[in-house]
Amino acid sequence: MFFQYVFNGIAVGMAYALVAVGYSLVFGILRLINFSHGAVYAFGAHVVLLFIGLRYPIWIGILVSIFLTGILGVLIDKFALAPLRKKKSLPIASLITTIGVSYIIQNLLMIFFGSERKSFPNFFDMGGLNLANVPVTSSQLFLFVISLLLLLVLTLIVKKTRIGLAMQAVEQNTKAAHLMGINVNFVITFTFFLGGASAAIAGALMAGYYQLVYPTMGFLVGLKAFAAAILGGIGILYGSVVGGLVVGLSESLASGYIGGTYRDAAAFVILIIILIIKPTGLFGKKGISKV
Amino acid sequence: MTILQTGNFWERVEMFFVRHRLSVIALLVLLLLGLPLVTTPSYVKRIYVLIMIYGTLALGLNLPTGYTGQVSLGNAAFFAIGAYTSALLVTKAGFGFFTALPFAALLAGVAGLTVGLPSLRLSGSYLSIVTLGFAEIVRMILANWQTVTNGPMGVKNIPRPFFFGIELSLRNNGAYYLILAILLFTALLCYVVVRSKIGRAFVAIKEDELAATMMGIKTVYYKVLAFVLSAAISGVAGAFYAHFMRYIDPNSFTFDTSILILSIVILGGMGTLRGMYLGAALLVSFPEVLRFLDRYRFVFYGLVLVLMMRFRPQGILGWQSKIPYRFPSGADPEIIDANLESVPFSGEKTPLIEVKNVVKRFGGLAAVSDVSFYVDRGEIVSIIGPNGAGKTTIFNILTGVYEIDGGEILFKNRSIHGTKPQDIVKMGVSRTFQNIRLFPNMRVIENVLVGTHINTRYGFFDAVFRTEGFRREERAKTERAVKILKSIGLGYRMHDYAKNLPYGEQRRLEIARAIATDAKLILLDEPAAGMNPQESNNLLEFVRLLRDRGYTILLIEHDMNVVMNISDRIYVLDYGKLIAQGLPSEIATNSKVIEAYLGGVSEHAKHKRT
Repeated sequence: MFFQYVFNGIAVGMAYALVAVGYSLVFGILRLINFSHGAVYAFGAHVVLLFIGLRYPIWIGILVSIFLTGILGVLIDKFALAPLRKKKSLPIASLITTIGVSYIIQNLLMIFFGSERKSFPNFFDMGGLNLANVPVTSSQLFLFVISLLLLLVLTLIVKKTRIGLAMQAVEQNTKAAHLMGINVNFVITFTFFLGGASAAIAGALMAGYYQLVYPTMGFLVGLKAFAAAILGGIGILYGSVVGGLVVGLSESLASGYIGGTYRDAAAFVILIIILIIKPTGLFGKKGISKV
Repeated sequence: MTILQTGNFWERVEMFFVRHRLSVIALLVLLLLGLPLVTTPSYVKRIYVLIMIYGTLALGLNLPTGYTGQVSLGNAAFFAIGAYTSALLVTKAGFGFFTALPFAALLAGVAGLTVGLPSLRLSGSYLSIVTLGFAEIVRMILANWQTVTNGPMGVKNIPRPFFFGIELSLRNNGAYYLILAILLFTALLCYVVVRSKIGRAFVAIKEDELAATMMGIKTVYYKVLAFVLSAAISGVAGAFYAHFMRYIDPNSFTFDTSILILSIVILGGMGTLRGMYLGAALLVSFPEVLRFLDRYRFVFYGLVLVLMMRFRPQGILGWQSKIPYRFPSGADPEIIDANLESVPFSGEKTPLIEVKNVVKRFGGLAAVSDVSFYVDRGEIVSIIGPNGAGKTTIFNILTGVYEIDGGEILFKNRSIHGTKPQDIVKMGVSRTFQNIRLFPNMRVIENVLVGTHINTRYGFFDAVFRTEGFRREERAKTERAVKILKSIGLGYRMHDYAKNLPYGEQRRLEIARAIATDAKLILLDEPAAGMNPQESNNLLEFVRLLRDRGYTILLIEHDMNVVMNISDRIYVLDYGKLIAQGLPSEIATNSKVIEAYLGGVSEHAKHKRT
C-alpha cells in the first residue's frame, strides 16, 4: 500500500507543481499572489470538456484550451490588474481584485456548465503497469512524465530564451529593465499567458486523472499549489517542483494512514507550518528591506 | 470662515451631520426601532434581520481589513465557530442563549488568536491565504467531527432566544430588536476603539508598517488585537444567526460567506463605519430585490470587488473628510503656544550614545566595518560621506532595523543591539527617513499623535470605557502634538492630510513625529534634501532650537551649507569606514575627505599639468 500512496503522491504532486509554477511566475514579476489562478485552472479543464462534448478529439480540445486559457490570463491582467498598476494602487487592491476575478470565473463556470461534478475521460489510461512488483498505474506515470516535461519546457523558456531573459530582468528590477528597452508590458502579458497555458494543461491532466470536472475544482488545487509554491520559495521554479512533491506525497500519505476526510487538510497544515517557520520557503532567499 | 459657508454642497452636508451627530444618530435609532412596527410582510422583516447580521459581520471584518489593512478571507470560520458554540451549548448542554453568547464570542476570539498569532507576522497576501486555509480546516472539522457537530447533517431545531421568558421571534419582532441591539453595541465598540490610540495604530500599520514600527507601535500586538476583536464580533453574529435560522450545517459557512462579507466592506468603504451599514443593506437585499438576477449574484459580488478596486477603492461612503479634525473635548488648539518644552538636561557633556567597532555585512559586502563614534548629550553631530558610504545603514543599525554582525552600541550606557525597534524608540531614540515615510492618508495632527503612541499609557479597556485616564491623556497628547506642530511651523497645517503637504513640510512633519515620541536622541536622515535655501535655513534654526531645548541630534546630510553651519562635530564615512572626524573647520580642510568627495588626483594627471 505504501508504494501506491507514494506513487499517487508523486504523480499528483507534479501536477501541483505545474499549477504552482503559475503562481511563481506571476509573483516573480509583479510581487502579487494571483488568487485567480485556481479558477483559471478550472476554466482550462472546462474548455477541454466543452470540446469533448462537441465530439472533437481530445488533443484539439487541449490545444484550444491552452490557447484560450492563456488568453484568459492575459485578459485578467489587461482589464483588472494593469489599470491598478497604472494608478499605482496599493498592493491590497490587486489582491482583492484577483480574489474578485477568481470568484467571477468560478461562478460563470457554474452558470454555463452547472455546478455538479461531470465525468471526464481518462485520456491517458493504458492500464496498470507492474514495474518490478511495484504497482504503478500508467495514468500516474503519464501524469508524472508529462508534468515533468512541461516543467522542463517552462524552465527552458525562462532560462534559455530571449523572452525568458527579459522576464528575469523584469523580475530583478522592473525599472532598470524598462530603461534597457525591454517592453515590460509585453513581458507581463507573456507571463500571464504562460501561467494560464500551464494551468490549462494541469487542469486537463488532473481532470483526466480523477475523471472529474467541476467549477470549484480549482479552489482546493489552487490552495495546494500555492502551498507548494510557498514551500519551495515562491518565485523559484525548481522550488515549486519540490514543494509540489512534498504536498502531493503528504496528502496522499495522510489520506492513506489518517483518513481520506483529512486529506485536504494536509496541504494547509504544511502551508501554515512553513509560513511560521520559514516564510521564504525552502529555497527562498531573505530579502533585505531598504529603508 | 467655516466650511459651512465656504465648502461645496457635500462638505456642508457632512458638516451638518457631524455637528448634529447625536441628534442624527438618535433619529436613525428611532427609525430603526419603529421600522418593524410598520412592516408587515415577514419576508421583508427577515431581510432586515439578515442585513443587520451581515452589517455586524462587516463591522467585524472592517477592523483587520479596513483599518489595519490585513485582508481576511476566513471570517466565515469565526462566524461558524460562534454559531456552533452557541447552538451546541443550548441544544446539548442546556444553556440559555444569553449565557451561551459570551462563550460564542470567547471561543471565536480564541480561534482568532490561534490563527492570528502565527500568521500575522506575515505580510498581506500570505496572511489572506492562511485565513482562507484556516476557514477550510474549520469547515472540514465541522463536517467530520460527527460526535460533536453532527457532521454534514448539521444542528437542527435550535431554539429561539428567550428573554425573561419571552421567545424572541420574527413574528413578535423580538429577533429584530435583538440583532439591532447587537449591531448597535458592535458599532459603538468599533467607534470607541477606532477613535483612540488603538485606531490610530491600526491605520498607521495599514499606511506604512515599517514607519509604524519605528514609531514604537507593537505591530503584531495590534494586528492580533484587530483579528481577535473581529473574530469575537463575528462569533456573536454567528450565535444570533444559529438561533434565528434554527438550523446550521457546515455549508452555511463557506468561502462564499467570507467573500460576501468582504464585498460589503469594500463596497461600503474600508475603514469607515458608515459604509458597513450601506454595504450590507445593498448586497444583502440585492438578490431579494432583483430576483431575476439571482443566478448571477455571486458573479455580482466578484464584480463588486473588481470594479470597486478599479474605480472607487475607498468605497461608496469612503472619502477624506474636508471638515476639521475633531479635537478631544477640553483640548483647545488655539490657546496652545509654539514654545517647545525642554527635555531635562544637566548640561554636562557625557556620551548619550556610543558606537564601538560596529560591523554590518550584507552577504560578502561589509556595508559598515569597524565604525566607532559617540554623541554627547546636547550635541549636534553630523555623519557625512559620499553615496553608498553606509550612512543610512548606521541609522538602520541604531534603530534596530538591522542586526549588527559585530561591535557594540551603548545608549545611556546600556547595550541596545539586539533590541527590538519598538523598545529602542521607547528608550528614547527616534528617526526620520531618507525617503519620507509618513502616514499619507492620516491628517498632520494624527501623524504626530502616532508619534505620541509609545508614551501613551492607557490600555484597551480605558479606551473602550472612555475612562477619566483615557480622556486626560488624549487631551494632553493632543495638546502636545499641537505644540510640536506649532513650534516647527506646521500649526496651520494640522487638519490637512499628510500626502497633501509640499515636500519640505513633509520633511518637517517627519521631524515633528519623531519629537513626539519623547526621544532624547533624534536621528535625521537628510532633513534638508529637496529644500530650497530659505527652507533649509528655517530647518537649521529649528534644529538649533531643539539642541537648546536639550535634545541631542545625529544628522546625515549632503547639504554642506547645513552641515558646516550646524554641526558641533562631524564624522566622515567612505566605503563603510570612518575616514575622518573632527570640528567642521578641520573636516573642511581634511585631505582624505576632499579625496573621498572629489576623487584623488592621479599621478598621470599630475604629470600632465607640469
